[in-house]
Amino acid sequence: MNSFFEAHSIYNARYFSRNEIIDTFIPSDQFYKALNANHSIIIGPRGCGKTTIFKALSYNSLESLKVKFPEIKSNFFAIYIPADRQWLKQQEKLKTILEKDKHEPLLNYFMVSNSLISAINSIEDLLKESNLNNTFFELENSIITNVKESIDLGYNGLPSFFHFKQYLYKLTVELNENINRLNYKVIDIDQFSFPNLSFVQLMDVFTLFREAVVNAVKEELLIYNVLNEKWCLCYDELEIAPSWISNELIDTLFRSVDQNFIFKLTSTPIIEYNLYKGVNASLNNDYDIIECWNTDKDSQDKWQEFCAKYVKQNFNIESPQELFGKFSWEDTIKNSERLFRKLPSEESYERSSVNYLVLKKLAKSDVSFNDFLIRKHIDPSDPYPKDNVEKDTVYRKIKPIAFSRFLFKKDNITKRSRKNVANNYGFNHIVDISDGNARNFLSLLGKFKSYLRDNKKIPTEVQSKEIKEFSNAYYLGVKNYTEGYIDGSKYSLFQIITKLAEYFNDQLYGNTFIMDPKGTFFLDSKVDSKIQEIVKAGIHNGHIIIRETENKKKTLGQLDSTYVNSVVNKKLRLSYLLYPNFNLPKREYSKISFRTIFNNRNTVDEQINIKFK
Amino acid sequence: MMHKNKKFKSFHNLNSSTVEDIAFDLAIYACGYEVRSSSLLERDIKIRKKIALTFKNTNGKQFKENLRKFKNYGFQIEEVGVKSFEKIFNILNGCLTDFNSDSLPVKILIDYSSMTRYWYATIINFFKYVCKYDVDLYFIYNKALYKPTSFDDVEIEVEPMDFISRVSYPEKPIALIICLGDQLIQSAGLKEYYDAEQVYYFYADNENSERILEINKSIIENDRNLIPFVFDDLSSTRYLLDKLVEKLKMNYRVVIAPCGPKPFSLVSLIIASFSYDVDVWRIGLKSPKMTNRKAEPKGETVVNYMTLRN
Repeated sequence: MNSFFEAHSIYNARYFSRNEIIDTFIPSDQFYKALNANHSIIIGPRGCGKTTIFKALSYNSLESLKVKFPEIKSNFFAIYIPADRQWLKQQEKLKTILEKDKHEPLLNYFMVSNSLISAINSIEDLLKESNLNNTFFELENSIITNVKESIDLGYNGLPSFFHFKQYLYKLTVELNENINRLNYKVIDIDQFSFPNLSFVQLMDVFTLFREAVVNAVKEELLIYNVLNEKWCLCYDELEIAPSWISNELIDTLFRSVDQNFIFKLTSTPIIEYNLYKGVNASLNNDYDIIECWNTDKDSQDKWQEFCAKYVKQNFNIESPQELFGKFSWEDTIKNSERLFRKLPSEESYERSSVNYLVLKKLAKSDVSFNDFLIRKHIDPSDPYPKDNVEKDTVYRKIKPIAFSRFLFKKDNITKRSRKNVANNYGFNHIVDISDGNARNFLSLLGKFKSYLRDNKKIPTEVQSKEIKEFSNAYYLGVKNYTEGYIDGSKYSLFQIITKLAEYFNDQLYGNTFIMDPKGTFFLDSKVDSKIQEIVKAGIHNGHIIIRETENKKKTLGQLDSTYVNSVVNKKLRLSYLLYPNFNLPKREYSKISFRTIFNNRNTVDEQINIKFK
Repeated sequence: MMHKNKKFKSFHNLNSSTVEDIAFDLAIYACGYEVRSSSLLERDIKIRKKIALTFKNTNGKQFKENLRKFKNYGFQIEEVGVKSFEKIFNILNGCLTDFNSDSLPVKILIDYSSMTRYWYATIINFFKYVCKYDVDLYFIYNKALYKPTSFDDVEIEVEPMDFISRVSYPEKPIALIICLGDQLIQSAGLKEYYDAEQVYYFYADNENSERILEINKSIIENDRNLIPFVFDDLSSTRYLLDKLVEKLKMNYRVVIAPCGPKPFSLVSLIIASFSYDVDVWRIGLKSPKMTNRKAEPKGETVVNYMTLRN
């Protein structure tokens, strides 16, 4: 377990070996959905586990996982096709330095050849893992020979996977050099040789390629049966792809009529897609949209279950609750105030309870709260609930706000606020604030690796300190997020997040006690388009979470109202991971218009004292 | 017939005073807003043809003063954009048309102290791709007195450098080599951008090291891959970087991101230009405030000598 943390300072599934995936994988609800032999778009912010799902779907991983988890069933041969920012940005760059008629065929070539290389890697892995002994070389020979005959790539080398891939790499090196020469006018366009593949559509190549491969392995029944299944092309990182690539892939998906192929693509929660193109294409409505983050209460509960299973399997800890404890307001108060230390911990509103005494004490020092209680016909000197209805409609509702004010608002009498309040602890709390994001969850767990290793209880003060620091680093990290800046935008993502968080903080700790504070927000269509783009970038990176998905549609053709392109009118909140930094209790309060917050400079900017450019 | 690329042969350190013993065929300087950009003019260096590249629309007192000096010293002033490689190519082509091929190799002096990375990358590429002669390139760097830069309110962008970076397949993970500068936002932005599996940090081992390491401590605290380099020994730095790149290339796609001082950028660009599968990326300000930095000369220069042959 410890070596897991040491091996991965960045928990990016792309870098996990097959064995690491097999050893650490826990099938999630989303994974089971992805096992369906349908086209799917797996959507979610960075780090939520999309790549892990794809890597687990890859044939060899899946076969091992089927042994470990017998309920896993599949009937396709999955090929993981990687992409990353470097690769995609390199191509984007090509677009800026070469004219359209020159860059389009080249970009097409890079996409097709990357897919081919990935397919060859998957087939090679399959043969290697199948204990074929000498037959391996015969099959390899036969596959590459067939491919050479079926697809005109200009390849005349040895019939081996290695040499075939080397040929594609060499072509790319030559292309890169020729692109430079062309630009530097050392050669002209007539001397530029475009690779044959650059004028062929992805699916045309893959149809021929699959046919060539399947025909080549007919004699080896075991391999034949695997490769004769549908091929599932798993395109990773579509979310960071320039729009032309995502449009191209989704178009291919729309158009694909070859029943031998399934497409699985990943995307940010806001799918960038040129709708007009899609609407004009002939739609096949049989697509799954798989959401990989906590969109609602149900997914939040499943996330809790998933994390508990994950810790049990990978850290050999039967009950993480025992190590981390369970968060309660009562215990938080007891730990921070000597006066309350001897009171019972359970949630009660009796006169001897923590709840009662906190409300009474708060009413004494917080005029606004005192007035609020009077307005609600509650005696501030004896805040005892009249009945259960009042307990449910008022007391339980105001509890997190009142307790937060008690802990963090400056005391009107002493003019001090508590400095070291241990209010971030408990396994459920850690799971909740990681907000459905596996990378964040693992990073947070990593903070307690020595305790996990020794199976030792973690003091609440230690947890709270680490979580608060983590939250602060996460918040400051927004500054370093390059997509959080757009030319000509009034605010950067960092500034937007700061202002929103401070506004919500002010709702809780301002001079007026508010029973229904604002805690979420939405953008209307009048919000500047650049701000909308920056908010999308925040959603992509998980700093901002989409919460309102009740109107979601299940088919891509109808996605326009839910996930495609626009961020307008969706209920959004800041990632819970930012909450400890701003002392915000983990609650989802009602929504407010983004413009109301940002146009209200006098009230907000002055109160929170942020300087904007 | 297509002209072949020139090959990299060697890269050495030179004693700074040696440049005064060499007769250069061409000198390429930059006339900018930094004090140091004109401070080498007073040195007694024998140069046949003199070019000073200057930014378009540059103003300011120091720039005017530099421009006056360059003109007085007989420099041909050429206005070029930050990325206008075509113009630089034309200028260099023009300078070498009347070159006497009996005195090969051509000796070129390049003061890159006040140049943008794109300019010296373009110059290297000109000699790699276009120039038909064997050349010896003498790179001279005029150290500046250190003054911290403040970028509290910046918009940053990350992009591959034109013609130095290329398309490569995303099969292998990324190894990132960062030269640390005095802005955490740059190094941290790069680390965040790439999610690189391996990150190596170079930093200049000099009187500012502690400060640079302190600025960057939040990203380097868990990393043992910290490599100091000596400004005055760029030959060893190039060797070290080259060996690291060669080792990493087996299992990674290598990206070099020189956020720190220019000499490190120079060796990065040389390695990437002649290796075909290493990228150099820039992370910088979207709208650089160019006239902010005075860069007063420290009175020390670093000279390196690179040979390119057909």
